[in-house]
Amino acid sequence: MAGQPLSPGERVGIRLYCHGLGDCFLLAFPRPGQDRPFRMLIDCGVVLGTPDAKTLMTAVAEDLHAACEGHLDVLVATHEHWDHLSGFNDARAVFETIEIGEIWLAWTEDPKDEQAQALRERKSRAKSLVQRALERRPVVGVQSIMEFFGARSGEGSTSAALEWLKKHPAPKRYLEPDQQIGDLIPGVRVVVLGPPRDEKLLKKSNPSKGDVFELSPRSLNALSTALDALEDANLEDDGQPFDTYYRISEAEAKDRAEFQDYLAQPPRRRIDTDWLSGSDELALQLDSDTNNTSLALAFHLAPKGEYLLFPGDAQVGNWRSWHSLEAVRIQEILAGTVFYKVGHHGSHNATLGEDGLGLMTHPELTAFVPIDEIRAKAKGWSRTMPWPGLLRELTKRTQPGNLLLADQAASERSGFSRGPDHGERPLYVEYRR
Amino acid sequence: MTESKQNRSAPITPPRYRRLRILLDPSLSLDVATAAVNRATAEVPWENLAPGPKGEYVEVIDHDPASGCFYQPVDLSDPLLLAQDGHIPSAGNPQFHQQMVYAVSMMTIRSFERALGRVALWKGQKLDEAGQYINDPEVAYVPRLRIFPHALREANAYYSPDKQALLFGYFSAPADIFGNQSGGTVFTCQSFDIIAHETTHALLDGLHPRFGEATNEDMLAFHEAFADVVALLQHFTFPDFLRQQIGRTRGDIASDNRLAQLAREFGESIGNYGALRDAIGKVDVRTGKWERLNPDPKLLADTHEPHARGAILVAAVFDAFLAIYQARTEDLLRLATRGTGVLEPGAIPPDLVNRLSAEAAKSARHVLNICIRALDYCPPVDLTFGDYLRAAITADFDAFPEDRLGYRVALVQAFLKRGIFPRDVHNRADVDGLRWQPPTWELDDELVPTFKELSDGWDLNSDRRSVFTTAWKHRAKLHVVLDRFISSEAASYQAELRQNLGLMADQKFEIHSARPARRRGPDGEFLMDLVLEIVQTVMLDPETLEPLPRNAEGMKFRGGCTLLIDMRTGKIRYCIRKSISNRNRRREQATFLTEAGATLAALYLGPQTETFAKLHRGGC
Repeated sequence: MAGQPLSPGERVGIRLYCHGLGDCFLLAFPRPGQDRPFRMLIDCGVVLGTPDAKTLMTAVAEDLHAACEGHLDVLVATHEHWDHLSGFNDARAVFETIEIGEIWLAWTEDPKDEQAQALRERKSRAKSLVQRALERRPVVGVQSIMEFFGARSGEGSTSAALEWLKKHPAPKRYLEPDQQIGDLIPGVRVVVLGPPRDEKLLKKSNPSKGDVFELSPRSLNALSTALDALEDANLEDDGQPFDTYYRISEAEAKDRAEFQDYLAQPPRRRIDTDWLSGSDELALQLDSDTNNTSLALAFHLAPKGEYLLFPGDAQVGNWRSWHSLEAVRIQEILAGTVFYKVGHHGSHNATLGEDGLGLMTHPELTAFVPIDEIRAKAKGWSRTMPWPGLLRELTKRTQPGNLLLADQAASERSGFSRGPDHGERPLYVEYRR
Repeated sequence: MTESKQNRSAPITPPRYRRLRILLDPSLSLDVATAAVNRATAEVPWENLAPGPKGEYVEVIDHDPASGCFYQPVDLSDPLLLAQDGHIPSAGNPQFHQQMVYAVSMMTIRSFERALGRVALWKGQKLDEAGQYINDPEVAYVPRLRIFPHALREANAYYSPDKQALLFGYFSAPADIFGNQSGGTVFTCQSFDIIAHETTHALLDGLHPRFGEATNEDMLAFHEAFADVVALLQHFTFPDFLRQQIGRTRGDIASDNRLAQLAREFGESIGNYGALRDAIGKVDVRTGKWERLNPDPKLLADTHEPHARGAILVAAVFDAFLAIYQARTEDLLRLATRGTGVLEPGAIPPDLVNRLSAEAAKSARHVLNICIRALDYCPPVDLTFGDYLRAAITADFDAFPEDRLGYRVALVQAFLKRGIFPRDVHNRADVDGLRWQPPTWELDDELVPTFKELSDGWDLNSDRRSVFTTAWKHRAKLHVVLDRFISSEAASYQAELRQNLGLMADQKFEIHSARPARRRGPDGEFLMDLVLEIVQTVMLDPETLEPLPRNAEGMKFRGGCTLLIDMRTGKIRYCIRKSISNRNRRREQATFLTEAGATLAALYLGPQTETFAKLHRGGC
């Protein structure tokens, strides 16, 4: 695509970056009578902790700058996670030089939307509570979840990347489920599948039976009241269970014989921070809530009724909601899906089973998993990302050569063509149809 | 000649019990009818206590980290407190809370010990501070369970296997819609049921450390159910409360009553319409009325959440208890009604209340004993509810070969009605057929003397530390002997023995437990069995389900057996096996783990050690 137009008869070309654990896809659709195809970028990021991420993302951005000839007709940001947006921070200088026609975001990012405002407010409260809890009780896994939001604050944060997009002069579209955009890309109708408006589905993250666990607002309040009081001695802690008469402060206890045995114990056998363990749940909830706000798009390619599916990191609830869409029949879309960008780097809960992948019956189904197992392992997620059960199912449903994991891009797959090498593997592969 | 000034007073024996005041459930105090019986007095085995209280088995430490403080440990040896059965129940007095967690946990420990006829041990420590395996029993021994009555500021209480501790939470409750709940702080450590439940988790983990591993749908559910059963059946040890409830229900404890309910205050304050769990019925959300829930044999197959699944087992045990109670009181009711068995309307006479209460207490004690004794007859790993039924029937047969009052029939019936039945038994009508069957093979004569040597004096009066270290040494010794028999590939006898024990060649095994179990012989004499648990752990290839070389990464899979060996003859009485080679079991575990392991917590946080913390959040 870099100066290399689509061949006649091709209806789409997708450059799939294989730079690491993160999403970045450049789509090109032919524009009849014009040399320059219609170009759309979906996300641009890599997970926090990737070595030399800035250089890497700059390389990605420069390549896509060249490929799109400095002009993106549409830029899509699926959701507020670092592994989807870091490029807009780390390679900001490159993106400043790219013309952007329109920016598409989910309704959950709409500053004027009341439901979205409430969601964001809850999210920011939860984020700050988890961060405060982490300071007292460091848990590696929770830390890694919080890293999806980038550095703690300021320029390096994921929300800063999102803010840059929101403030960009290009016109924005905040997309709603069931919305269709048929007049923009020649021969292509874009179907918006999610995120859903139904908050119950928006919160559902797990395929298992039973309800989603949620920390009640009451428990959240109790945790934050206690943290407030511990952090600021002048604050009154109205969550104290007993009259102040009974209190023996921790400092005082250090000088009292009756507590010496206990205080001499290693922290592992003490309970200093166990009361904050509820924040683990909160972090998990926060992560899946954010993933569930993913803008999920399907591209209908005329004339054969074939679809490309880009669900972002949509989790179970988002997927489920597609079954209640009114303007489209999801069964038809999934049955016609010829290309599937596997959600959430192949985790267990971002590809619906029976009612999702199970309905993707197209014989030429091609799937791409933006995963880097070494990175996932370094994060401590080795065993479940990608989820072996999902890989098995994907292998079953695709022809040999039509399933590609980004970190295996060095080996040939007939369904993809390789780009130039960048280190040990190509910077990208291309899918054309 | 100098006369020594010897004390001439009569010798004083220490008291058998220390009496301590406790509450049954704070919600009982809000009802005029039950307020008086809520304040019970627990009789706790006498022991010398340091402030805390800190005794032989438990140590209460009142650290409240969310409030950044400690509370003064109560000194129950203070004569002023000794003379008045401890502090008076008060929600606002932390020392009363300490007293109550001590009293209830000790009552529970005692019930457990009595049923098994030996002192209880906590799970030993496996790793030291540096993360290395501990090889010295003196270091591994954990003398006391730690109890933190105010550890958490949330609606949660749990047993932490890693810390060997119970953590109780407190939280402010909303004013409840029925007005039962005033708002204010709810302390989980003020509920008899929650304390008994959490203590039981610790006791069960001490006896069966592998039962905390969710290898099938029943495992965690069993942990929950067992903890609930022990809490529930102890309700019947409080005479005033029992008589009041028997009187109110006119002896019909299958109707709405507090004896069958767990943790009512907690339940109401987290938004349940009634008790946290109820063994026989529930409150209809629409009408606000309690109704009896009839057993549904199909429910089990559709119930997956551990507490809900466990509740089915609890209901089955409680049904068995009710049947036994009814069998024991039929004659009383006929005597009281001139043979009709139909009570006149109105209150029943106090004498009848007393007699019915005595029978209820006895039935509860017997059922509790059956349930606890069954633990010595369980497989070492991968327990199912069906296995547990077989264990209970076998244990009861060994204790009371004649089943005069039909206890075992009651148990089997109750379990069947709830859809619980072992898959490996075909004839549902034959109660005796449910017993584990004696093995058809015999041990090599060479092994017999080794087993006979292991008899030791582990009973209710033993020193716990020496019991722990002796059992440790026995296990080590047995391992050496068995290793010769099991590990080598050589003779066909060995292959056969491995198969009989559910083990495989070329993989390490451990003697997981060695402990005595008492039973009654045919002439009423007491006999002793040695309970040996042998466990092998292999890593399986998740695809082929075939064993991988040692230390490879794969699906952890355990198998082995529990042997009950007659200490007189050295012969194996039962071999309760979960074979490591069983393909079906491998497949089922793989399927189960695929579903259970598919959680965000597993993805980001890895394997969880605080199994019970999350399980109990918002619902103990």
